[in-house]
Amino acid sequence: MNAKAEYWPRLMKPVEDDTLDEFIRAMGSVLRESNYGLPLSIYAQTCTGCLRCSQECQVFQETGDFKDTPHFRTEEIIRLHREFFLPESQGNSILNRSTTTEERERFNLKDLIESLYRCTLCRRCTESCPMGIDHRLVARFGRQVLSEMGLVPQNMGKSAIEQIYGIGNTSAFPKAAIVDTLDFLEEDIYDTYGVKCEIPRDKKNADFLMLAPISDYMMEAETLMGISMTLDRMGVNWTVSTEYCDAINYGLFYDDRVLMTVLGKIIQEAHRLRVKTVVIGECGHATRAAMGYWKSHLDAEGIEVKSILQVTSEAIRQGSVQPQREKNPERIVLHDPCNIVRGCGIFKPQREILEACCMEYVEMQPNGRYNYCCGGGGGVVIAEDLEKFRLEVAAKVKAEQIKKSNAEIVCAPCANCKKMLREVVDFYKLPVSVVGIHDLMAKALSVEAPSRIETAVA
Amino acid sequence: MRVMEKILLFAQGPLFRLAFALLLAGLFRRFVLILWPAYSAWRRSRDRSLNWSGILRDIASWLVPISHAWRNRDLFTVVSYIFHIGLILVPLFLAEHLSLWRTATGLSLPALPNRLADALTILTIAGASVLLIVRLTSRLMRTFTRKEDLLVLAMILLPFLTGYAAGASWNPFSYNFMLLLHVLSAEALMIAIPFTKLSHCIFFPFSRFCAELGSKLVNDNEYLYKSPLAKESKS
Repeated sequence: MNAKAEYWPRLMKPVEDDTLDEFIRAMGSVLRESNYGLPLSIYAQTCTGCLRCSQECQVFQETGDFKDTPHFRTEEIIRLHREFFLPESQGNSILNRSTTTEERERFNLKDLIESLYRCTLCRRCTESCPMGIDHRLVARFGRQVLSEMGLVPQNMGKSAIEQIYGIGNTSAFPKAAIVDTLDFLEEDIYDTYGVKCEIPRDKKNADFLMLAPISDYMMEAETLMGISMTLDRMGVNWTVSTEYCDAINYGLFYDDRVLMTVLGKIIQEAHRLRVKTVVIGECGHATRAAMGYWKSHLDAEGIEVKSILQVTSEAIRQGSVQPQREKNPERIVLHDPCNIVRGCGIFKPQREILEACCMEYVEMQPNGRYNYCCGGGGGVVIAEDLEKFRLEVAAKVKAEQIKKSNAEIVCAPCANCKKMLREVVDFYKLPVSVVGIHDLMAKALSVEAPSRIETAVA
Repeated sequence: MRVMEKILLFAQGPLFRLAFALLLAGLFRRFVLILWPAYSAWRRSRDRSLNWSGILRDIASWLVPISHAWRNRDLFTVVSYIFHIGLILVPLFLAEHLSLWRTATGLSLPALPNRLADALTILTIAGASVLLIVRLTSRLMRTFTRKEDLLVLAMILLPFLTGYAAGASWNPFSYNFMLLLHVLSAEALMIAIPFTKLSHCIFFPFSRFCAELGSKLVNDNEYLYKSPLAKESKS
C-alpha cells in the first residue's frame, strides 16, 4: 500500500469515483476520430493469453505485480472496448467475458490509470508476442483517452503547454538564451576541440534544418557541439533555428493532438526557412514522433525528415567526415534507445558511427530489437513523482546490464536515455560516465589533444 | 450394433460436411469483419504506406519460432511449439483422415507414416497437458486464465485422446463408440474455431498488420489539429 503512494504520478486533475463513465465517453470520442478501434477488435480475437509479453516486461520482472503486466492493460482496455463499443455479434469469444479469479474482479479504473502511466512504452512486449499484438499501441490508446479527460501527468502536460502556448520549448528556455548558448558553443568548440566551427542560424534555403531536443542546449552541450562539428566538416548547407528549436515531442507519449501540433510547429519552421530536409538530433522519441508521423501531417509534403544518426553514418561511409578512432581509447558500451531501434528501425547507423570513432565498443546483452529500456521511457523520466519507481524498479535491469559490460563509458544516442542513465549511474554507483554518440564524434574530430574535455559526470 | 454404425456413418458423412461448412462460413464472416474495417481504416488515413517487409518478416519469424524459443530458453514456448506441430499435422495428414478430406473437399493429401502420426499425437497430448498444468499452477497464469482458455485446451485434448484410444489395446469401450466420440468432439472443435481464440490459427497475421494501420492518424481530421490542452493552459 505504501509503495502505491510513492509510485502514483501526480495528474493535472484528481481522479473522481465516477471517472469510469467519463472514461467510456472519452473512449468513444477517441475511437470516432482515430483508427485505434481496428486493432482493439482484432486483439480481442487473437490474444491467446500465453503471457510471454509479461515475462518480457522489465517492470513486471521487478515488481511481480500482475497490474504491471502488458497483458493486464491490454485485457482491460479490450474488455471495455468489447463491452461498450462492439456489437454483441462481434464480441467474438463467447466465454471471453468471464474472468476467473477474485483478484480480477476488484478491478477499478485507478489501477488501470496507474498501470498505464507506469508503462515505459518500450515495446519489448510487442517484439515477444507470437500474435504480434502491439501492447504499446493499446497503452498509448489508454493514455490518449486519459488525455481526452484531462488526466495527464503534470510534468508532461505543463511541458506541452509551454511548448505550444508558451515560449516554444518544453523547458521554457527564452530565445535570447538560445542565441547566447549558440555563441558560447562556437567559442567552446574552439577552446575544447581546437576546431573553428560556425553554427548557422535561421539561414534560408539550407539543405538541413537541425532540430535538437532542448536539453542539448542546456545540459548536453557536448552532443550539440559534436553535431555542429560533424555537419560543419561535411560541408553541407545547414542551419539551426532560433525561433523554434525544440524537437522534443511529448505528444508521442500520450496525445495525438499534442503530437500533431508540435509536429506542425516543426514543419512550419521548415517551411519558413525553406529547407529540404529536417534533421532530428539525438533524441529517441523526437525521432520516432517525426519519422513515424511525418507523412500523417497535412503540411509535410515536399520536406524530408531524417535522424542525425543516418546523416552522420552516411557521411562516414562516403568519407566526407574522417573521425580519428585513437581519440576515444576507452571501452564503450552502446545502449539502444527503444524509440530509435524498435520504433524507427534504426539499428546499423549508430554502430557504424561507433566503429569509425572509437577503438573498442561492446554490445549490451540483449541488444537491438530486444534491448531493455533505460527505465525512463514513456514520460517516466520527466515525472518527478516517479523517481523512486524508475530508479528502483524500472532501471534495475539496465544497471545490471551496464555493470556486466565492464565498460568505462555508456553511449546512448537519446537525450531521454542519457538523462535517465545519469540518474541510474548515480543511484547504483556505477563507475561509468554517460555520453551521447556525437560527444564521441566531437572528440574524434578534434585537432589537438583534448585537454579540457569533461566527460566524467558521475 | 447396426444402430451405432449408422450413427457413425452419419457423423462422418453429413455431420462432418456440415461442421466443415460452418467452419468455413464462420471464418469467412470473420474475414469480412476484419478486412472491411481494415480497408476503411486504410482509406481514412493520410499516410497509406505500410511496412510490408517488416510485417512479413515478423510473421515468418513466428511461424518458425526457433530463434525466439532459443533466446528465452523458455519451457512454455518450446512445449507450445511442439504442441502446435502435432495439432496441425495430425488432423490433416493422418492416413485414416484422408478419405474424409477427399469426400468433403475433393482434395487428396499425402499421408503421414503411422509411426510418426502416433508420436505426434502423444506429443500433442503431452504438450496440451503441460500447458494445462502450467495454466493451473503458475500464479501469474492463474490470475489471467479465462474459462475459455481451459475450455479450449480441453476441447483440443478430447479428440486427440479419443482418437488415440480408439485404436489402442486398452480401449475401455468398443472401437466404434470411441470413434463416434472422436468424430463428434472433433466436429465440435471445428465449429468452435471461428468463435473462440482458436481463430488465431488463421487470423494471427492480421493483428500485426492491423497494429500498423491502427497507429495511422486520420486524414483531414479537425480533431487532430484543434488546439489541445487549450483549457488547461489558461488555468
